[in-house]
Amino acid sequence: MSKNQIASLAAALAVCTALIAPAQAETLRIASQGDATSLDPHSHNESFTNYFLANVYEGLVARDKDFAITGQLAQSWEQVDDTTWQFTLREGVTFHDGAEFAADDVIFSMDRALSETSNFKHVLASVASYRAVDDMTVEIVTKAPNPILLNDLLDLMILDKQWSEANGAAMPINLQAEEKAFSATNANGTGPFSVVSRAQGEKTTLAAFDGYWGDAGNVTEVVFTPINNAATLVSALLSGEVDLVMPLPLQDIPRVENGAGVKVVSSAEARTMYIGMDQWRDQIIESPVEGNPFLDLRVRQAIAHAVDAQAIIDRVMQGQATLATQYVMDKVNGFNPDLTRLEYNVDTAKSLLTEAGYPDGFEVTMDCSTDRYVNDGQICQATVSLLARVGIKVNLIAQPKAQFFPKVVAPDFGTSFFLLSWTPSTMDALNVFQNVLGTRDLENGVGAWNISGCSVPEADALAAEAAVTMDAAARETMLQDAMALMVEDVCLVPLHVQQLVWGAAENIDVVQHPTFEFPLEYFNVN
Amino acid sequence: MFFLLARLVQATVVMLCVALVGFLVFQFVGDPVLSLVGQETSVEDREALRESLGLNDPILLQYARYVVNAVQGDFGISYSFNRDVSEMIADRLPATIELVMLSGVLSLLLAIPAGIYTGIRRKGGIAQTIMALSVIGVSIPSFLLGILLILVFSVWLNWLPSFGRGDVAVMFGMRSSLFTWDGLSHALMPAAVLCLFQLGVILRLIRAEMLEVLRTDYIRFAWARGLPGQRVYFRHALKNTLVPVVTAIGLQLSSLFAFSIITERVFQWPGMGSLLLHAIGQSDIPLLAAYLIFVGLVFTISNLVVDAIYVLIDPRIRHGAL
Repeated sequence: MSKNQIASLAAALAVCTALIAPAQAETLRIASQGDATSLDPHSHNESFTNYFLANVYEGLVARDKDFAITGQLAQSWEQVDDTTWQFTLREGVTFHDGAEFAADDVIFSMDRALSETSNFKHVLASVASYRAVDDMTVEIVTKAPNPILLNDLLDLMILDKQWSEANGAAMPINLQAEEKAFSATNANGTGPFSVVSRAQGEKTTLAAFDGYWGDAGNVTEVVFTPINNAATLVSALLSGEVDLVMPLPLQDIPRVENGAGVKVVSSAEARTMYIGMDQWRDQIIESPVEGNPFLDLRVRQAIAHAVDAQAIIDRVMQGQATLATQYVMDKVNGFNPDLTRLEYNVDTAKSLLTEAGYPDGFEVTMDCSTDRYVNDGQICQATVSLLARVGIKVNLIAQPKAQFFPKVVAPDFGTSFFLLSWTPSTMDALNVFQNVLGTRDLENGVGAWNISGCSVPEADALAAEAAVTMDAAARETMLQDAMALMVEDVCLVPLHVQQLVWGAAENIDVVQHPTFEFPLEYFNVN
Repeated sequence: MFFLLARLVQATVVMLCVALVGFLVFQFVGDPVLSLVGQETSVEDREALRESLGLNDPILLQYARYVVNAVQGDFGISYSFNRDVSEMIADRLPATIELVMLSGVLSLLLAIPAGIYTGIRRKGGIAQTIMALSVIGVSIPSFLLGILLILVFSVWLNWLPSFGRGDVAVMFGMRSSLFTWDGLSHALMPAAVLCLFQLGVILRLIRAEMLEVLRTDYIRFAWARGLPGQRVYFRHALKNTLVPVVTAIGLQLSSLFAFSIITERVFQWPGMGSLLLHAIGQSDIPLLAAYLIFVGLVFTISNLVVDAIYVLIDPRIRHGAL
């Protein structure tokens, strides 16, 4: 055999192997700092848990590879009138245990999501009634026109009625229940992966579901291990013991960038960080100041001018963030492209403070978590020194989230100056108006996270109108106008939109969504 | 017998106090409800959950209810795992025990001979080196050492796995990862980190005791009688150094459980320590309470055992001479 022949034989072999490769078992080993807190899809509403379970369970609709909403268990849908929707279900779908999927499973899952022990009641908050028209059709009637019903339904996972009832899991887990919570450690969905073994906090193994109705990548097995310690997490990636770490701690980006056989994957996340200022108390708390300086728009503007958000991005976030001009990021519906930030300028800030009657600044206490957001503690430290330049003395209370949240959330709202952030789970700005920006009206579930207590009635009115407007274009304009009003009022000082940063082995293809979803069916091992 | 009974009563009181202090502290670990529900959950729903978990009751009532249940063997259901706490502990305890055992055995095997050697040849070069190293062992923080070992043996050399517990096998009716090569390779680095501190402490203690005993009159008499060195060192000297050493080892073994928290975290070892850290992060009060009681139990039992061993090795206690 000549050299050429050998070379072509080798090439042919290589091609064959490449062709065979997708059929072979491909294991994807993932490590993350947290773990799913439960396998029950209606129990803990925590984003990591929800997105982990979205690989096992499916909803009527889901995000596709390009982040657009498409039918999942619903093949198609049509709007009969402003409030009535009909969903035609997908034929030939089976659960992991082999049971057929049908309309009674959807009705059962909606009942379950609305039951006493569920934490997903908000998903169906706009729904007045629902029924199975026939075996493969479900009708949903909303209380008022709801233009974002599909977005709401993204988080509604469908369980098998028979399986749930047979295993005592007809209701989401009741924390006081004496019986064992079967659904916390067992799962039976229609998704591309089934749960093979589960040891919470140790290791969870998923296997590709043979009977899956849709297409999936070549991953046949997923081994998921939580690794809490950042240094260990990165070492596991560098030593080749795991293929994917999410998220990758920012300080370790250079190590992964310089490492052999590993890469950094990043994209913008839907989380916007912001600084909040008390605008509802007559006297701010934990401060020697008389009255409430934040009630004066000029003081709020001064703070926006004094905080150099770009410096925070460069130094604290290692460049892994983009400047925020408003309270949502650009992929969220209702983002207003015309808005700009108040530019960083110490002199402007000082003169605004002087006009407002605080030429020498004032003293205020800032509340901040240290383990909830990326580098949250350091962001606050940077804010303290930036504000010191304009004479505002900030006493920082940096605390673990377990202390921080009980202090600052409803009903006490026990802070006058704080760092917080929000991810609109529906990817629609209305969610932000209902939770963060709308005038507080806890009775009606509005503004539960409006810790600033800011209030712009015109924006409230626009948001209320957008909530029932079915015309997408008109609705978007309303949300954009409302956003402009909030930004003009400096309800909050927007800082940055953080990046989603993962570390992966070179041969892994991943898909990142702004909401931190990790749809494993789109992942590939090369 | 009476001696042991009195100790048992004391131990029970200690346990009750531990649990009470625990419950007083739990008021400051944060609100478990917030880590259970999502950001969109309404204020009323949160309040209803808090009420149904009994978190609005006075702290002493919560404590009393807990003790009554715990006495009946019911430690409640973990908020974050939705499983019986006793089941959780039964799951995680073996991993911690095998780590503690391996490092305990390692440290004793190394510390006793090294302690005796440095006690006898205290001016020798090797002894000086061992003493210098033991200072490092006592003073280097375990998280730092752990990360260093991972860097060297996992990332650079690729010899040992950096995290987790390996395969488990059943031998002599016990399930342990120490019976497989994979398991041993996973356990080696965490056990080494955990043993280093103990090693330093026990070694230095044995050395100091040896030095003291070797100065006593009866050792000089033994030399004067022309006894061989081996007999003097091991029969006469070592035996009399054991009383304080046994106490120290007993206490050290129980503190191994405490130290294992950091080591388990660094190596992602699925034992009691990582369970505790998880429980703190999630404000999982039933799990925290059970952990505290468990650690209290380990300390009281090891103290009891040490007391019992005293009686065996020191006749003076048995005869009431001390």
